[in-house]
Amino acid sequence: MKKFKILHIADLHIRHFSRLFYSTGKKINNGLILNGHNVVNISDRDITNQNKNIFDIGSRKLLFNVIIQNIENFKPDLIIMGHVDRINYETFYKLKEKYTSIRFSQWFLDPLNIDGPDFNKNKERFYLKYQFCDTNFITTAVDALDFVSQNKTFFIPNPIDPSIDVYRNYQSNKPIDLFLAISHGQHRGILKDHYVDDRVDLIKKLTKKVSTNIFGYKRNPVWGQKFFDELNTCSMAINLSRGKPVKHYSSDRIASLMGNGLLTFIHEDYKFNDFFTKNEIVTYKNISELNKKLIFYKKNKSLLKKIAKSGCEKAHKIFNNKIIADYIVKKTMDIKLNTKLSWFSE
Amino acid sequence: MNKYLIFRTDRIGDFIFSRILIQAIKNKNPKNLIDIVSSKYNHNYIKKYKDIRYIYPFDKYDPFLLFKNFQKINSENYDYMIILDGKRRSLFYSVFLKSKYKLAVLKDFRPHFFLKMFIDKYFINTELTNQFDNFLTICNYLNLNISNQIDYFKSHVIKKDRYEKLTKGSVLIHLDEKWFEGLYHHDYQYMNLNYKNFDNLIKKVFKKFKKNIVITTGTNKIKTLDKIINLHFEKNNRNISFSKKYQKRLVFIKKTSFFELESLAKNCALIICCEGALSHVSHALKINTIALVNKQNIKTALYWTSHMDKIKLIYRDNLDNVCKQIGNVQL
Repeated sequence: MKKFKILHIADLHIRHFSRLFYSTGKKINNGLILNGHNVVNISDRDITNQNKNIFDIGSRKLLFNVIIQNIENFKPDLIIMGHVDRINYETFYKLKEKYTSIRFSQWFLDPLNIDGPDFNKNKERFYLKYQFCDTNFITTAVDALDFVSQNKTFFIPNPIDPSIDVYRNYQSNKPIDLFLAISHGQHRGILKDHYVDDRVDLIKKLTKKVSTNIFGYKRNPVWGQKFFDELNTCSMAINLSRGKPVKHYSSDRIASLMGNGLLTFIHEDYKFNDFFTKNEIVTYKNISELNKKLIFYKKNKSLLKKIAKSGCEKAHKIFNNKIIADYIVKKTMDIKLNTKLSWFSE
Repeated sequence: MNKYLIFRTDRIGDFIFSRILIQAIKNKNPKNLIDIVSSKYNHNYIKKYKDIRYIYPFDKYDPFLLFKNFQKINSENYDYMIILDGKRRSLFYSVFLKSKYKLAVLKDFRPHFFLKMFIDKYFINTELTNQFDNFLTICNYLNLNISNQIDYFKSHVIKKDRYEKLTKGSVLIHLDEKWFEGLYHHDYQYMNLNYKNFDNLIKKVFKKFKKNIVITTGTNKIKTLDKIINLHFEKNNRNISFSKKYQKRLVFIKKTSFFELESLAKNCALIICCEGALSHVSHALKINTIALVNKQNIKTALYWTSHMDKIKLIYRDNLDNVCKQIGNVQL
């Protein structure tokens, strides 16, 4: 396959001192490099965060100049953008106008569900670049949304990176049954006072018959290696995302749960059974069914391990960061896809 | 049910293109109400569309009309105001008008402070993407599903073609002012069509398509065309002339209004015209079309036509080269 020069503009969390070393931006970046492309990174939010200027509020001009200088020196074939929110619509237009031969693409991870959290805000952020991008990649099924064009918008799952998601929890008995982590925003890191999280209702109704390791409710979330250490003490996990379920959407946490070999529970309305069988993931309809299943698998450790293993192996196969990075590049550069996975759209 | 007010104060072709948005609004909820602020020129044309509830004719030099419209628009409480034409006059006028949500589609004129103050959302109408994609973006943003094909007959009654017997299955060559130098953009290439070489064009079209030909023109007076008609045609009645050489195989229909042109186009097998309103109609009617475009402005032409699957673009050039290109067209 042809190797491209790719400018990847995404938050690499340098300012967070490796607290988010497992971020999706990093996983996609690794995937691009592992596929043999020549990748240059601009960590947009680190640049704007570390360079404050009273005459350039939000360091927007600085960021624009950094991008221009990088393009001029590197001459990329493709620019892939993550959540680059510090550049406004007019500036994206200028970039597209100035570099007509470069293909533009964006990936967007936040929920775009009308019943989900921050819908209007997220839609505006997505639309900031949507018009000028040749392709847009989202983590919600495209056919579940009526405000995106299926010709230039495609689904991608949250990537699993074999160099990051290295644990295999199904290989041994774990001291705690259930891992559950939520947060009020990964950049913030700690819980907000007086913030009502709709996921707490479910947490409160969880059965007491399984031991739990819960973060983001009563206890602040954990990050960095501590997140993996805590996750590594559990055999099962519930994947909870904010808002009402929407087809194929998930918080990026699912990659850590399935990718590290925990038996993962997810509400059936997310329709992850389009990707995984009942021998690879556990779905539930409501809290009572969830509780019954948690108790059942706690008692059936061998079945738990078997499903967790199959799920982990399948997830590493189909949600692999190399595959996702390849899909982004091929779709954007109009290259035919050689293989076909359940989440690909033509 | 929502009430929409759309500014489209430019030409017929622009309005026809905007039908994709209008239909998307109606498809979403047939009870949605759509009113148009149109140019006086388009007013009569737009009236024919049943899905447009009310048309506000716009004339920036008529303060009485502006005030009258201002009063009526503000009494309507529109949910959405969409400035599609991107004109300064529409943008500034919209400031005085009430609507819950204002969206503008703008080209080069984008005063940032003004937009921040008075417009909820704007999109750039850019030739970096084609016009269809720009509309798609707007429709996507408004949660409207659009099709690249306008269902032309859904809300619009095309006049019955009174010349049907003469025109059915023929090739329509629309010789409007865009063919003739001095009547259109001065920096465009022209075909130098005149009474001497007119027959070359006709022979080429006969040879290539083996169909009768109908010639139409707009309502503007074109001296060169008058001369061609006087020399090559014989009047049959007030509006129709037959060719002296080819008789009824080559017909000229005088001063066709745009309504008549639509009805003629509907019956034809092929249309040859300069790219513009007629090519939008032919696309909507799914009729094969050869459209002449200026080579230097190919980007603009593609901007308008890239979603049209029945159109073949050829370059404006001297008539011999145009004939050659027609000869090479694969429909």
